[in-house]
Amino acid sequence: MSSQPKNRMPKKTFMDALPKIAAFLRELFCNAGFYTGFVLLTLLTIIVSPPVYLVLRLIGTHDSGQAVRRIIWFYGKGWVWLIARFVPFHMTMDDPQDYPQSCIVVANHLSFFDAFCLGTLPMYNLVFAVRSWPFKIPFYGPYMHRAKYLNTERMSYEDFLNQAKERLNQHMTMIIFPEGTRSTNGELGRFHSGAFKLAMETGTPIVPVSISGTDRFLPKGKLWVKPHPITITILPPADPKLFAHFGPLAHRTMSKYVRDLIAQHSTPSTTCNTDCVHLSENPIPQGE
Amino acid sequence: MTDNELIEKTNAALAEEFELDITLLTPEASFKDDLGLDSLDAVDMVIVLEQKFGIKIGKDPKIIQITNMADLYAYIIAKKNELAA
Repeated sequence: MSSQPKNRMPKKTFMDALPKIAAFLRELFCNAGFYTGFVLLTLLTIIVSPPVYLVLRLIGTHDSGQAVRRIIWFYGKGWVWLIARFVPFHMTMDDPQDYPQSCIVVANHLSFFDAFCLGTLPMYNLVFAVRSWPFKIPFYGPYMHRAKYLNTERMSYEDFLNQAKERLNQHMTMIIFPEGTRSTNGELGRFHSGAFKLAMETGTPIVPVSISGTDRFLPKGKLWVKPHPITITILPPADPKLFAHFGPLAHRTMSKYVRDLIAQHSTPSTTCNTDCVHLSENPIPQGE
Repeated sequence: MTDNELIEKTNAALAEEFELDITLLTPEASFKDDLGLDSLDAVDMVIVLEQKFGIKIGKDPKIIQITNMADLYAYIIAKKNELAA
């Protein structure tokens, strides 16, 4: 009797598993280092905020809101410095002098940390238009209220428009995520047109910002960060006057133009550089 | 123009202007929950429909009560019939 040959799986050796172990250790180091740094940076900001606030108020260059916004801007800069220690962080923009302080920054939204990435902006007097939940984050809420951030879920569109106009008149930079929420699949969603209507009505330029990689760094609903590269592209300002001839739907034309610009500069979330290993993904079987 | 042609033209106009997937534009689709349209989009929708069909909607109280595609189709068909009469 001849015995039939059995299909045996090749034995996995320690050497085969080494790249996965190395990738896991890299992720572990990234998480431990990043979150430790993040907590320390937040605590440091909370501790130094009162004296910095007093100095900014006493030298007379900042009103109360401006002083808080300046502290938040420093915090954002600190976060950008911190993250660049753990993942490749690339930022490109034109000459900082080309960007007006009073403008509307419009960015795609992939992750909780997108707002922190905007610490790369050359403007510092930043006001975010956000939904209700960020106001409930411990420590952040009081700063956001004092910085006069807009809670878009607690106001009608007319109220939003009036309050945003007031802030733009005071030479602040409005930051709006026109998708309204974070993308769950890395793809650019439909834009709501409020930011563009505001730009058309006030003649304020829009600065489009394309954010890539934060959805792989920290996807929506996750806490475990992945060492994935992050790229921020701060595009040249778009002047609403150039769209005025499109008539009553000019803001929609501007919205489509800005969305296309952001899409062109976004790296699809499915792309991954060679040193990026996703442990959670099953390997693709090589044949039957 | 038949009612079906009117519906197709409405869907094409809304899909293009609001960057919506045309397959989502079914009679049951709710503006807010299924299509993600907000109050500002509703104002723009009136302008789009006026331009597309040459009808006057303005601040018609009936349009404010429309919350889904089926009611919108019925409204446009009624408006076109009014014009034809």
